[in-house]
Amino acid sequence: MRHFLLCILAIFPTITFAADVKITKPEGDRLTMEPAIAVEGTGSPEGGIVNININGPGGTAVSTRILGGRWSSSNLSLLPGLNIIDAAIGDKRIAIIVVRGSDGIERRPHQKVRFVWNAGVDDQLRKLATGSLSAVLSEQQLVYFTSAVEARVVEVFSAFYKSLDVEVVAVAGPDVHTMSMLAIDDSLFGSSPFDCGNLKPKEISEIHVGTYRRSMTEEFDRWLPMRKEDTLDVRIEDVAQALGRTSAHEFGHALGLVGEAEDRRCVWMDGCDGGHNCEAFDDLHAEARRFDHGWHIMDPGGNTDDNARLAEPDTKQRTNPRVPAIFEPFGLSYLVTILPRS
Amino acid sequence: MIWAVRLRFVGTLLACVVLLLRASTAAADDIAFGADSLPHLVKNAQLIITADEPKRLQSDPAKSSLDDPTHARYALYSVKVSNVQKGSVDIGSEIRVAFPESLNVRKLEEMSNSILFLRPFADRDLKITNLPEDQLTYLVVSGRYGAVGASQANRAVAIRDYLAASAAGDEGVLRWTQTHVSSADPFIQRSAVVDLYFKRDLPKAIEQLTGVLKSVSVLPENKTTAINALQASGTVAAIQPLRDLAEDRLTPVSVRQSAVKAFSDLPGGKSVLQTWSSSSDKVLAPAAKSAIQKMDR
Repeated sequence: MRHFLLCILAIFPTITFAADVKITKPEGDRLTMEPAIAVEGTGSPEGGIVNININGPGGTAVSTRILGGRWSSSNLSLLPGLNIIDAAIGDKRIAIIVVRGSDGIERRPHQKVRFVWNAGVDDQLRKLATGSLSAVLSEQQLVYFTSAVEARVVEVFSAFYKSLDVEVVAVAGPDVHTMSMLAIDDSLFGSSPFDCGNLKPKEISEIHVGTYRRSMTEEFDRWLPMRKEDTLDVRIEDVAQALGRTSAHEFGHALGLVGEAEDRRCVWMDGCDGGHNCEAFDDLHAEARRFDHGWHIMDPGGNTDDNARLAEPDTKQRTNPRVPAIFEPFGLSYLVTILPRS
Repeated sequence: MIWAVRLRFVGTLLACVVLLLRASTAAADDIAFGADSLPHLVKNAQLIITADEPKRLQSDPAKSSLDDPTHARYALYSVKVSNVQKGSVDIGSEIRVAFPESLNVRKLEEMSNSILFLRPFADRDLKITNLPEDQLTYLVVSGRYGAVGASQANRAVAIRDYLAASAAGDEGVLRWTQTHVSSADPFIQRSAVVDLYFKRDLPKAIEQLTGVLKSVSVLPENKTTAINALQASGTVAAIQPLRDLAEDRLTPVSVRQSAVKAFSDLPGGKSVLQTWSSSSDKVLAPAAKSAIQKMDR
C-alpha cells in the first residue's frame, strides 16, 4: 500500500502539472509596422507562469500568469527588422518570428494594372502551341489558342491578387502599372523594377514570352506533366498558368517584394538570390518557411520547379483542379499592409 | 595642362560613379530553374570568352523611354576578349555584350577577368530591345549569372573540363559531376547538382544524388535540389538515404522538411509519412502531416 501511494505521489505532479504553451497571437512570420505588440497564447497548468522573451538575452523579458488556460502580455517593444518571440513554461518552449518594418511602409492608393500584348507575341504563342503538341493545328485553332491564353493569363494573374486592392484595367494612366508581354527570347522569363513600398504606381514589368516558347518547345521534356498528346485546352491552361504566375511574380517585385541586403530600402525583408524568398533564411530560422521551390510566388526563378509554373504538383499526372503557387505569410502580410482590399 | 588632366580625371570619376549607381539600380527577375548554372549556360552559349576592360555604353535613347512598353531593356557594354573557350572571335578584339537590365552586373568590375557565356541577338529580337541595331551585340545568357568570375581557384579549369565533358555526352558529364559535386566552389557545386537533377533518369546519376545527401561538403540548398531530383525519380534507391536525412536532427530544418516531402512520390512513402506524422519529432510530424494532406487532396 505504501509503495502504491509513493508511486502515485511520484507521478501526481506529472499528471497534475503537465506544462504546455502555445502562442496564438501574433501569427508567426508576419510584418507589423507597430513599435510594440501584444502577445497572447494558451497554456497549462492553470496559474503557471509563462516567461516571454523577445530577442534573447538583453532583449525584452516579461512574465505572465495563465488564467482560464490563456495568457497575454501587451505593449512589448519590437526592434526594427526581425524579432524572435519566445514563450516558455517549465521545459516547454515555443518561438515565433515577427518582422517590424521600417522605410515608411504604409497603405498605398488603389493600384491599377494593364496588360500590353506587343507585336510578335501572338506568333510566339502560335509556335509554342505547334511546337508542344503532336496534333496538327488549324489556323482557327491557333487563333483560338492565342486569344484564349491572353484572356486566361489575366484571370490567373487576377486570382493571385484577389484579396488585395489591385484592379486590371484596359488603358494606360499615371497610376497604372503595365505588364509588357514581349516576344523576346533571352533566357529571362520576366523582369521588373523593385519598388519598396510601391512608391511608383506607374512602372513597367516585362514578361518574355519568347523565352517560354523556346523552353516549352526545345526543352519540352523538363515541363512534366506536359505531354505532346495533350489537348489544346490543356495547353492553353499550361501556358496561361506559367505566364500568369510570372506576371504575378514580377508585379510582386514592383510592389516591393523582396528586399535584400544589397538594396537601399526594405533590407529587413531578408530576401536573397536576387531579391527573392531566401532558403538560407529558412535554414537559420526554423520558425520560417518562406522558400518552397516555386510553390511560393516570390521564390527565386533559378530554384523554381518547372511544374510549379504550371500549377501541377505532380509531374507524373495531371491534377484537377490545378494548385497554383501562393504568397507565403510574410509576403502576403506586406502586400496587405500596402494594398488592403477594403 | 595639369588642370585639364585633373578635370578629365574628375569627369571620368563622376561618370564611373553614375555608371556604378545605375548598375546597382534595384531590379528583379525570373529565370528558369538551373539557368544560373553550367548546364544551362553552356547549352545556350554559342560563344564563351574571358573578358576584360569592360566599358559601359549607351543604349539607343529613342528606344529607352521609361514609358515605352514595346522594348525590352538591356544594359550595354564593350569588353575586350582575352581568351576564347567556345566559338570563334579574335583574341584582343572588342565586342559588345548586353545584360537584361534586371540582371545587370552590380559593379562594372564584375566583368573584369570574367568568363562570359554569350549568344548573338537574333535580328528580330534586337528590334524589340533598347539596343542599337547597327552592330553585332551578344546577349549574356542568364544576365549576370552568365558572367562568372574567373579568378576563383580552379574555376576556369573546371569550366574548361565541363566543356570537354559535355561534348562526350552523358557519360562524360557524369564523370565531371562525380569529381565536382563536392567542390568548394559554390558555382561549380551547384552546376554539378543541377546536371544530376536533369539526368535523374540515369542510374549513375541516382547513385551520385544519394551520395550528395550524405556529403558534408554539399551546401544545404544543393542538398534540397538533390532531394527534389530523387523525389521526381521515384526510385527505391532513394528511400533509405532520404529517410536517414529526414531523421537526422543535425541536418538543417528546411532540408529535413524537403526530405520528408519527397516521400510523397516514393514507393511505400505514405506509410513512412504516417509513421512520422504520429511521432514527437517537431520537424518530422508537421512536415509529414502536410505531405499527407497534399497527397489526399
